[in-house]
Amino acid sequence: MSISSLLKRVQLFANLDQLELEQLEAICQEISVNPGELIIEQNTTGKEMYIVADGSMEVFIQGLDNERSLVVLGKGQVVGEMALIDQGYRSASVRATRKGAKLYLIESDAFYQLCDENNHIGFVVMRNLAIDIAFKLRHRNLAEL
Amino acid sequence: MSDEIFYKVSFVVEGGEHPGAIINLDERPQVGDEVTFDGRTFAVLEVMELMPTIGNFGFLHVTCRYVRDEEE
Repeated sequence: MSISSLLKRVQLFANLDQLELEQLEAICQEISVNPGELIIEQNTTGKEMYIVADGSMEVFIQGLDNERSLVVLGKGQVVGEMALIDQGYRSASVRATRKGAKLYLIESDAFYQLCDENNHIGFVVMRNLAIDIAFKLRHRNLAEL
Repeated sequence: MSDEIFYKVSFVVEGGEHPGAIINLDERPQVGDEVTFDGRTFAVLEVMELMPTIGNFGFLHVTCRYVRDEEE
């Protein structure tokens, strides 16, 4: 699937027009991740978010001597988006599942610059981000039943 | 805006041994379908609306059951 087709299918970017999607496309960097490779480590800082283009990523939290898997995120999902909001420590770790993954990386600085240049992108993405967080909370509630 | 509807789907696996998944699909899943994620195939047992459709995105919840590991 091409990056333009993928971005149309990413809910975080819903309701952006074609030109805006092309502006986003311009700041995406494609990366390949090997099976089990860690892209985000809990309690570290980071300024990137990732879009899953192919394969899947496992989100998990680590305790002192154990770890717990929280969710697997597949095509069209966004990983590390909380760094766009609070720029705080990563709340969980993220690694590729057994078949690896293809991702698109977006640097937060490039994203904020784009939002400064086009406030509509910033407004739409932040509204969609709230929807995404609501969806993940609802998923989590059902997963813990 | 496109007329196409895409689906953001929350998958919870019966039995609780798998953490579940969130995946986007182009087609609404149906009971009896098989879906593959995390290198495994699962059977769809139940589909419900998790949140109302917003724009061209539907938000669904699926309960599913592990069937087999994905063929290499």
